[in-house]
Amino acid sequence: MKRIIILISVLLSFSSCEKIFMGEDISPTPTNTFDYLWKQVDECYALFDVKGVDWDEVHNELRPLVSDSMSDDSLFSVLAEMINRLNDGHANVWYAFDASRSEEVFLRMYGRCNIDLPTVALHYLGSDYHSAGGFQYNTIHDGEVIYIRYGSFSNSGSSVYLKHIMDRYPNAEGIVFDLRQNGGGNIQNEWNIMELLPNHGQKLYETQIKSGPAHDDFTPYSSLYAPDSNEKYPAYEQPFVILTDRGSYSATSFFALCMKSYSSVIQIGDTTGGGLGLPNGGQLPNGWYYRFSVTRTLSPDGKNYENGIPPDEVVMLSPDSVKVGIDNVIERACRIIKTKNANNPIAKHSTL
Amino acid sequence: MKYRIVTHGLLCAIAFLLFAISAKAEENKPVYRCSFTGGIAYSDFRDMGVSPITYSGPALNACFAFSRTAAQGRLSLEGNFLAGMYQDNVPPRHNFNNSSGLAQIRLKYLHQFNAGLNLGASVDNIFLLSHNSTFGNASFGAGDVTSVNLHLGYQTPLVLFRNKKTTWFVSEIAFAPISLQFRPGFAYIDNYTEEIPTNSTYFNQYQWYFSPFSTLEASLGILIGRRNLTISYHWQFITTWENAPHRMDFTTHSLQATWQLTKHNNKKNNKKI
Repeated sequence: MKRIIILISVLLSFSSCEKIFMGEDISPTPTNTFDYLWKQVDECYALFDVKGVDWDEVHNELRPLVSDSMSDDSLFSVLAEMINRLNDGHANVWYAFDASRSEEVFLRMYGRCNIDLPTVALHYLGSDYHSAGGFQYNTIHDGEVIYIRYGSFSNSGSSVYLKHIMDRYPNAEGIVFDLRQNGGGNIQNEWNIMELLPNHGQKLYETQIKSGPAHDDFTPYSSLYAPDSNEKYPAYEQPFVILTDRGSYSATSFFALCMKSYSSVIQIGDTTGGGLGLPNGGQLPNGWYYRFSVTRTLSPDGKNYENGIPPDEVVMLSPDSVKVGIDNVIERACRIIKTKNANNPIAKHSTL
Repeated sequence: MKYRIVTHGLLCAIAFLLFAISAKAEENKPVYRCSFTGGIAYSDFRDMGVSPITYSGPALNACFAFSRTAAQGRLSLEGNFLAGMYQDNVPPRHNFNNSSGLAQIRLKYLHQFNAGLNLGASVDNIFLLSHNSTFGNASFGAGDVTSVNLHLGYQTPLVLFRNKKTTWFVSEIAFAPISLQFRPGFAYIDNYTEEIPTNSTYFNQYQWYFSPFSTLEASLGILIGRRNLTISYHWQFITTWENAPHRMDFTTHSLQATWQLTKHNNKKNNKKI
């Protein structure tokens, strides 16, 4: 029995040593939380070169503002200030009662909003509009053009839905695909949509992932090519015009970048909001959350459009048009479709 | 890749060696055993790739094992599964927002010496999965640990009640001198991102690491009745230490009940013992 007691003692003490093996969690103090977030960004953020931010300088400026006696509200303000210096819509800090956002990105997205949703709803979609997945659609210009409003890539953009819309209006001359104020979502949806566009095996973009703590530690570039068309989804050969503005962010910018490689697609409106870095998330020692971009994306010709994809043709919404129930961006898109179909194709602007 | 091939080759060689030793030991009629284990557990889980905070919570585990014993050698193949729901320890505590699962396959050989002492070795493969949707594009985490373990066991008769059937006290510790681990790389991106959906990219950012003493185990229990029921406490610790870009630790305390069926190769003596 004595031997058994010794064995039990040994084994229980062995298992109770796990805290020593694991080590204690980082103490959730404001200073530790600040230092942890600063270091995470310093080692893992992928876009320092594009953003032009001196991250050491940010630390020197903001670290003295943090003390272990400060309130949660005060700490949150400092952390938000720190991460907002990146001017990246994919860089945020949040917890149960608040979430940070970059003022510059915020003003860019909403200060130059290039769509008037009531005008679109009342005069283009109409009360008899249809919906399929994330698409709201109807025909405009006496059935000659299909207008599709896609408000978020978070909503399903399945090829099945889009194919259904195309089949429903076989005589339409083209599609106006409205992505204004589409803040992004699931990037898989853009690949679903691209299945229905003419594929010539073209390169769409290149991407790199952060691979080490130095600011220039990246994996080799991976190239992405247009997805294959198939018999189930024959390519849509008619003109396809996408509408963007500064609120077209993240997955929408990825989509706009991809569209630059499709000859049948034209982007009009305003420059997109950007957001071509893939955000990655994590938790801070005090239980709050953060995310920021850990990848960077280049166009096929090697340019980084993190701050926005310029349109082939800039068309800004006219307040005078809106007053009379007209969206001049949609109207311009319709004219482009009709012009292209009249065998007078408009040369794409070589903005990339 | 070269190290990976060499290591897996070594592991296969060790597995073959276990079979060979087992075959040599089976000069007498072998005894086959099949056991089913169910248990409740409490686990701590921390993956520094997504959070410096330890998550804790209840789990359930189940284990199936088949063994063949001859002379003093016992060769067994075990499959162990554990699934749990965890929450962090920082107020306000969230609901159980992290779920994890573990699947372990073990090929083990134990040799029994006098005085109830067992010594042996095993080849293990542990696959860990975790999911926490709060972490966005890093919501899914996976890891694989392939290791060679050394086992030290001890068992002795235990009389709990006078004039009652003899029970046995059993205990075992095990550790892995070396293991090969497969873990997310520096950016800790999971496949939720579908960054490159046109290619097959599962685990494309994962990397291989060597790690010493990455798994530790201890168990103690009581064999009851005619040696077909075991009640035991089991502790398991899995870690990457600092050998991966993001350290991962996983511990489990479980209370288990094991039911064992025994079949002798001799038809005349084919009954439970």
